[in-house]
Amino acid sequence: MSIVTLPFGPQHPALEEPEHFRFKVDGEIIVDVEVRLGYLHRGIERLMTTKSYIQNIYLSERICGICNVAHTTCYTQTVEQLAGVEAPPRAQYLRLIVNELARIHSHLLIIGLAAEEIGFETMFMWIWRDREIVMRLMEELTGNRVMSGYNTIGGVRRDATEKFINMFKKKTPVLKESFEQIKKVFEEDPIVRKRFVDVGILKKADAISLSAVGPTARGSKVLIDVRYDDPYQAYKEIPINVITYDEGDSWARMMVRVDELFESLRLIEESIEKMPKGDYRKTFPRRLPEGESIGRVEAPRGELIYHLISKGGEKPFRIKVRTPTFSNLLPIATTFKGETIADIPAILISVDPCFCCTERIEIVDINKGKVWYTSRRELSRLYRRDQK
Amino acid sequence: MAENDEKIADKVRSIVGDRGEVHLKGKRRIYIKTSKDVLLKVIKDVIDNMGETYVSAITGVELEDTIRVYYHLWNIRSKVLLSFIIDLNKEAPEAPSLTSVIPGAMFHENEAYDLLGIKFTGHPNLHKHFLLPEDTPSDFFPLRSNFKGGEK
Repeated sequence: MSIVTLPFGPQHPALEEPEHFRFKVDGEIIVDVEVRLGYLHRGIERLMTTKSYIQNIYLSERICGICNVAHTTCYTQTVEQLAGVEAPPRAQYLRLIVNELARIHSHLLIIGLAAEEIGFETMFMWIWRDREIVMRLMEELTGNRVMSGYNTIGGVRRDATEKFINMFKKKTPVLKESFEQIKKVFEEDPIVRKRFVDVGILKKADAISLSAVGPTARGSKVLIDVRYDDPYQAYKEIPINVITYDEGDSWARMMVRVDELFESLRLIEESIEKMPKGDYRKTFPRRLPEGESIGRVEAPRGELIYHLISKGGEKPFRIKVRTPTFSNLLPIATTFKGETIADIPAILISVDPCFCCTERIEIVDINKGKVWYTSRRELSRLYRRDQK
Repeated sequence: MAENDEKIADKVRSIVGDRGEVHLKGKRRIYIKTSKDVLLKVIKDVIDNMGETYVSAITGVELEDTIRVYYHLWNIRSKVLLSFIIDLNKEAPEAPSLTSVIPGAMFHENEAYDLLGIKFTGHPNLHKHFLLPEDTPSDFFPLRSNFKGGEK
């Protein structure tokens, strides 16, 4: 039987982000896969060493749009750890709230996209309608829908207002009802089950040895969650229930996310109850001592780790960022083997891959830039000019 | 909690023995300074004694006279981050590949080779242009101190 190479990407139907997979297929069955990264590499680690600690908050935020809150939380936490400063208690609770809000909107985004991927477009619309509530809550709390700019070294930049708390309390039942509905569909709907159950199985032993993190690992019954095993900020005071599933297939990975929606909502509710009064920000020295620190945060997609090495002064000597998708790519590449071509999008989406995190690129906001139309000839002319 | 960390550090110390120095560096962070010749053996012994461990990250950094590599491994059972540190020759940095012990180290090592030029011996697929574009020269290592690209 002849083996055919099937290029998938960089522009492909499963994701909005560029990534190249080269599948070797035997008829309909995938026998091997190669991953080509680098379409979005922009050298942020190097750039960070030329900027001050304060400037780097905004740079780390721009590593990834969706997980921007996780990135700034991790960065500020790592810097605070090195300086031996802790954010005030109220700020720690506010950081928990903003992290969980971001987790809810990120999970809703990927669950919606997964529904669209398997051809269930009605569900995609419902989920994104309800995601809007979370985006509005986010705007009320941080002042912005996506790029929140909320965390800063030594605390957060805004306090939670009465209006936000009332709005959250009013919207909680709506969100809960929506989550129940999503869970019901994922558990019972025959189309969803046909597309996700027993597809892309990742065994527990493989998940550990190939170093999967986050919902990808938890879907294979690996009990890891930074919020539970290395608690940071207010997670020290509000313990979380780690959600794991035994199956290890795409369905289990999606169900981990669905159940985490309820858990995140509970965490926010509890921290609003328990949140102490007081300052939400501390002053922070501009210069840091010599030393090293490692910060870990559970981003929506898994463990995010920052390793900071300082030689003293205003700028870091080296910052290493390891994002969750980078770890999850290898385990998922192995699960493709033996599956069919039609399952590629379903498997890929179940990892919730985020390539802008992985390669530290800049996302171009098409809404900000002008919209123009160009003919193919014009494009090739532009391209040729670049070549010279 | 600190006592618990101290206990785990003692356990690691007894496993590593005289092959490396073990330091407790804050909560749930243990640094193990060792050498590249015994690295794989030490990591294997630690995993055999302490259970399920995965690769969290691999950091490479160029210091004044060496290139230092940190292998950050998270131990699931003891809930502690074990960072194994080795120093390499700056002229020809060569380190043993962790992939034979934990296959998940593969992409991390690819990245370190692409950006810093650390050669991992025994790596199944070590190649240039893992993250960088294909038209970059093969001695182009953006995280090395002699790299001047982009700075005007």
